[in-house]
Amino acid sequence: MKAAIIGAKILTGPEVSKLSLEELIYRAASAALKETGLAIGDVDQVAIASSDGLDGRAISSMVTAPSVGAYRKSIINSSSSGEHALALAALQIMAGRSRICLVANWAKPSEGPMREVDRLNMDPFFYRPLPLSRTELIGLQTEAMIAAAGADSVAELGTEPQTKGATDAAVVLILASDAVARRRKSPFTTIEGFGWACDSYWRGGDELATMPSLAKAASRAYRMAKIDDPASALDFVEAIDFTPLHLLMICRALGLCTDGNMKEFAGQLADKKTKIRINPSGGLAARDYDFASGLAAVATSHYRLVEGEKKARGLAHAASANAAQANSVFILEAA
Amino acid sequence: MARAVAVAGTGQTKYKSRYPELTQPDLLRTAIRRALEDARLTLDDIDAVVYAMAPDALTGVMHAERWLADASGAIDGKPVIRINTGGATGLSAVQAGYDHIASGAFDTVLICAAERTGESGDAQSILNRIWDPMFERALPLNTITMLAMQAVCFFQKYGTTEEDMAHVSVKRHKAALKNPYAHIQQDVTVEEVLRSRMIAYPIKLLDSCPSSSGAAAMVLTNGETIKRLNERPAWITGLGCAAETYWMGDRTGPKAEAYHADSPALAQSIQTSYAMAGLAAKDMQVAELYAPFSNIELHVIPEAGFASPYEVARRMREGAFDLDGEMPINPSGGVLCSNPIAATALIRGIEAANQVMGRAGDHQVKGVRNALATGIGGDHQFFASMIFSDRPRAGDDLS
Repeated sequence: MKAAIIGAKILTGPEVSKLSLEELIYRAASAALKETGLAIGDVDQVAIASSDGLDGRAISSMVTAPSVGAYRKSIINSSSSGEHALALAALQIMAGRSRICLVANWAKPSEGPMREVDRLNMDPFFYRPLPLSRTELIGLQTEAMIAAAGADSVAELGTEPQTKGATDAAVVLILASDAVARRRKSPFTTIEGFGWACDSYWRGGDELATMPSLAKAASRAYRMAKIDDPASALDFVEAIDFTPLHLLMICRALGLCTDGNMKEFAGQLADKKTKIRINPSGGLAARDYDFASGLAAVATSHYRLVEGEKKARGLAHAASANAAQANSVFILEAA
Repeated sequence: MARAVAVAGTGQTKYKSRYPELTQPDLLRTAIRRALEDARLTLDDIDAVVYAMAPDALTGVMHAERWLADASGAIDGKPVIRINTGGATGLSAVQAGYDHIASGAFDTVLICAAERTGESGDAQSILNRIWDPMFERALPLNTITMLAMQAVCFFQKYGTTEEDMAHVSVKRHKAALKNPYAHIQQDVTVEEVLRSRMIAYPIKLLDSCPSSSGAAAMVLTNGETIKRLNERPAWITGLGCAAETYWMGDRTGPKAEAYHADSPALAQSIQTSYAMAGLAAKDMQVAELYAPFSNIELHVIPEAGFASPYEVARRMREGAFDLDGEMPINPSGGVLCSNPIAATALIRGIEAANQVMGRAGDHQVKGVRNALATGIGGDHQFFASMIFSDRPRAGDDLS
């Protein structure tokens, strides 16, 4: 049995910052259900991803769960990332424990000083005394990637941050088994393969540049989707790219280029002439929702497939934690 | 058809107020090492990790699952997911681990938790922050005052008394004397409980759980692998979860959605577990029920179907729920004697599984075929339950 995405909603824009967190999530969930033609009574499982630090309260899933209708319903909350909530939902469906599952994830960075919140991620002994936030970590990672790739190879790619700052958003996906999705006779995508993995917290080693956890996550997703050659099997990739150079290293970890053709691939990436379309939606520059960026990449891929790319196959990449310590990959296919 | 899931091994540390000799990663490693040894496996055999961690503020590091990834064994690109449903976290994490294997995506999964509630500063101040800042946080609420109100509601509706609560405390403290991991190991009398310091009427010091530090871990695997590891495994045959309303104001008054004396969502969760397993309350031989205060055990036993709420106090006094009673409840001493929050519900699962595997030591109940474990999280909002059995669920795939 496969899990399928039968509905999705990304609620964002300047007006959402005026909404309370609860209202933002509620409106996104309501819109996703409406788009899918379902009522909350049709949902038997809820999988959410909350972050105490970002939401500004302890066990923040308590106040956010009711916004997605988690009342007298089964609920699971992953606080590590939205993409992990999606993975848990997919596992529940594959295990036969859920018929319709609502997945939700959000971020409201406009509410607080993100740089200070980022520093709370650091361990108390070694990292916290350092002035580390997402910006500094991206800088360190960029330096490591230049060293690993060779400056000549990546000269055409920029190292400026893709994003000018995260914005508020709530992302909701509605999942069902592929059998249930087929009976509905509405457009949907199937999750053909997925994987997630984690690197060491200590970000000083080679993994900072080469992202072995992404390669592992992709390997698992490819195996599940029966993909031997991703470069020919995929039509597009939606990735969480902090810099153009970071995007190159993501492509390398995904097996879309190798050390041998990296310079050539970097040139194609810079000219937007890669065989597989990389970040056709604009990547992180277009949708930096901080803790919700990963689930948004999946939702964006789903939109692209159901809105026109029949029979196409896309890869959604999600990253979380310091300097993309944790990576996830979802392979979606238009039904 | 779901794949059958079995417990291959469990590990715990001693629970105590402080662990100055171990860092958080070392504390976690200790429990993981014991669980792996119990399962006769190594970290290389683990395909994925589920890390249980409740409020970030108790650890003092936001998203500490990232910091603890190395210690939890999620190294070399191994998958790790963190679960957080407050006090129910540990059992929700086992449920997530179950889904990893039952789905066919993974074969062997480690579930682990480390908590230092006893060293987190003022845990109740942190837990006051679980309520919304506009309406209910200022009442003032914390998990003690919240559940003190539950006790008063239960008294009013079912006629129980402070002395009934004291009898629960006496029995659980006596049980914990046989559990080497228990934090509080102290024989107490009804009179001592009633004379102990009032915390929030009617909850007194000896009606209350401690703030514990410690770690716990469990290894789950599939039907094929368990054959070579454990001749007497505990199989997960039922699981359930349900959420109640968040608002305390919705639990009192004439328009209450769920009167605070009762927890329909807890009963729903447990009934879901029974239904999945094809079993009923009468089929359980032991239960590890999440009850951080004496009054909560009187409330959870009826929700699990082991007694009427009108009779539970009398039957408690008569010994029906003792180690050698007709339905032993919390033979480990329960949450009343050890409460490292993120690990607490996982410990309920570990103790229940150990009872089925015949590995509960001096507090082993004889002839256990099925055991129920429960977890409660948030402001009595998130409820999880699980049934461990001595045989797999009928129809499950044993590969």
